[in-house]
Amino acid sequence: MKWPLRSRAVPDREIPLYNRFYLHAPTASHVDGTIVWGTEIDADALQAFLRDKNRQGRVIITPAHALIRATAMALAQFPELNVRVVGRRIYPFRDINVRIAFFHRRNKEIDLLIVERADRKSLEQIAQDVWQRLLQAARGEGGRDRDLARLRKLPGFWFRQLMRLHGFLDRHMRLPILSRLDATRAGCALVNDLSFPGAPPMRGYKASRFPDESDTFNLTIGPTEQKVVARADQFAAVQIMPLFVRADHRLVDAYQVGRFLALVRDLLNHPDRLNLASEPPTAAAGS
Amino acid sequence: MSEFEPFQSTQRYGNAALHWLDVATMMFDRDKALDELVRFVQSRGQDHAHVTPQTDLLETGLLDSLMLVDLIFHLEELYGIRFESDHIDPVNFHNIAVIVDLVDNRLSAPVSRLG
Repeated sequence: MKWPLRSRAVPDREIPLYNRFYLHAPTASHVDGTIVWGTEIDADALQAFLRDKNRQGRVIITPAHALIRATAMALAQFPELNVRVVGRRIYPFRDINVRIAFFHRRNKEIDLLIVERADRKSLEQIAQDVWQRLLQAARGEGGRDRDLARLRKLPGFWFRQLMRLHGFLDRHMRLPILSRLDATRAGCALVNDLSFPGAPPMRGYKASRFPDESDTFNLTIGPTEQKVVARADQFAAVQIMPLFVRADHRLVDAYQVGRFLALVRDLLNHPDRLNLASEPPTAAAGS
Repeated sequence: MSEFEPFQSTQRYGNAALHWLDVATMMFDRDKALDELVRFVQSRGQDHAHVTPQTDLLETGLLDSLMLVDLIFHLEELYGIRFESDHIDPVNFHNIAVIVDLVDNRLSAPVSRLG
């Protein structure tokens, strides 16, 4: 049985007063504790890096894999953000796990997968993990897929009761991972790649929050666009990708969100930094 | 009726359909496979409309994860072969011509069929 959260909550004295203001706000206040910050990344640099990786590598790497790695590295840099709310308390996660939303081809709906300890994995290992799960899901061969199929058969009434019970326990108690279905609760960040060909330009994006409290951060990249910028007193046409973060104000403030986002952006703008530290030999990929 | 239709039944009927796979190996028509795959990729939208067998799908950013998974399962259903995550190698997917080579290789490898 895995316990994704550490046993001790963050002491109140370590939580900024303004965050506690949101954390202890009564439900009746209908407070909107959400911060959204949008920025852009240099898609030319990222695409050149990915092209180079894909010319030399043994697994196809996409912007989504780069975003998972950048998010994990940023969380490693700011461990105080790798947390979630349980009741009115804040608990740190044991590991840096990053979730990603993907299209479940067999079920024709969105599902989640989790890349465990993504901060310790190379881009190649992350890509292997993701492709493996995508193929498994598309075939409906994974344990999670069988569980999803069982869940789908539950009548609406029982589905609602189950969700209410699970939601109540998850929101108020520090739970272990109880099944394959709730294994995706084990990470504070969810990334979303909406840069698929044909997607409309993205000017704003706020991902909705899950009914559980585990998604402290949502990071979304949008489709590539051309933009004219001034560089060294000259206009130049560059490719950019929008990057949006949605964060929980009970846990972070705008300054922290800004610093976190700046680091993710910097890593994606200088993607060679995604290779640092944990770039093991290719033979270890997928282990 | 598609001329590939007999092979689509291989997954449904399991080992009994291996006979069809032998036929498929012998009958694999590279030009038709190329043509079929080009049409499949071109049908993905305006950005893909001018794809040729030699268009580099990775360099041009046309091969996103959605399309790659669709492409893999399209090939699996059509030819009764099976891909693993190890096959998601840039060498195998950078253009349609090499994808057809991969299919040809997988059809010639008896152990790979139907998983």
